[in-house]
Amino acid sequence: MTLGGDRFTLEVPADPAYIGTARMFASTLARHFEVADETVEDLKVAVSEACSRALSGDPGDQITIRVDQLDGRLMFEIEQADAPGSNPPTNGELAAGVSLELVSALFEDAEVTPTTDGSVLRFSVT
Amino acid sequence: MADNLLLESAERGDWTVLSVKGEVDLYTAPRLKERLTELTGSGHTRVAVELQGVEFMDSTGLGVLIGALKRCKEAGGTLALIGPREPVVKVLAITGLDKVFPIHGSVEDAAGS
Repeated sequence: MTLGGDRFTLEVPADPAYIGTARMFASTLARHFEVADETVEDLKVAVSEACSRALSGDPGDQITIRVDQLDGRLMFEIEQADAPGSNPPTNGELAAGVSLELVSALFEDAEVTPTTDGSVLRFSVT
Repeated sequence: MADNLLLESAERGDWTVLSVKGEVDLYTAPRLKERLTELTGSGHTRVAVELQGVEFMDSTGLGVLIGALKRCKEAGGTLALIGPREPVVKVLAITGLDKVFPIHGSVEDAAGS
């Protein structure tokens, strides 16, 4: 984990064993910024779903969680790089499936964007 | 690597009660699935899953519970959820599964329903 100004970053191996670590990072940070308890619980679900989604395909070596504090909001990005040779998503729409439907139900601005070698899920927490 | 999930089963009258404590996610859900499969596959068709001790559950856990419910129903039985905490209740509600699972405050309530 690195602390750099208003950006906080956690990199974990792409392994289900570390999803709990990702939840702990996100919830601890949210509580530090006095996010409401119910929203923190929503955040834990969103992070867990995002990590599970990242692991459901053909993940690369790690999952990166970035949090930017901006104008009273916490902007979350959960990024994973697909393993070489796998097929990344080709559009910005939320993919079908319970995981992302759950995230979008909890955080209305949730959005998946393809990257050059994977995808990134973004949502914000107030 | 150690995980944060405790499972204990016991018989209470006609019901098999599986007490779940800790966190249910992609890492721990396979153990829950394995235990529920053992129970439902060995003739236990009235299963109560106690969730009072579950601090966290995501859709992976819900999927495991759905699978177990289906197996119980196919055998003419049922699977009830007991005492889920508010964050779990919320996930059940968002996914509509609060209308699929019988949810009770206690095993006694489930038995009497």
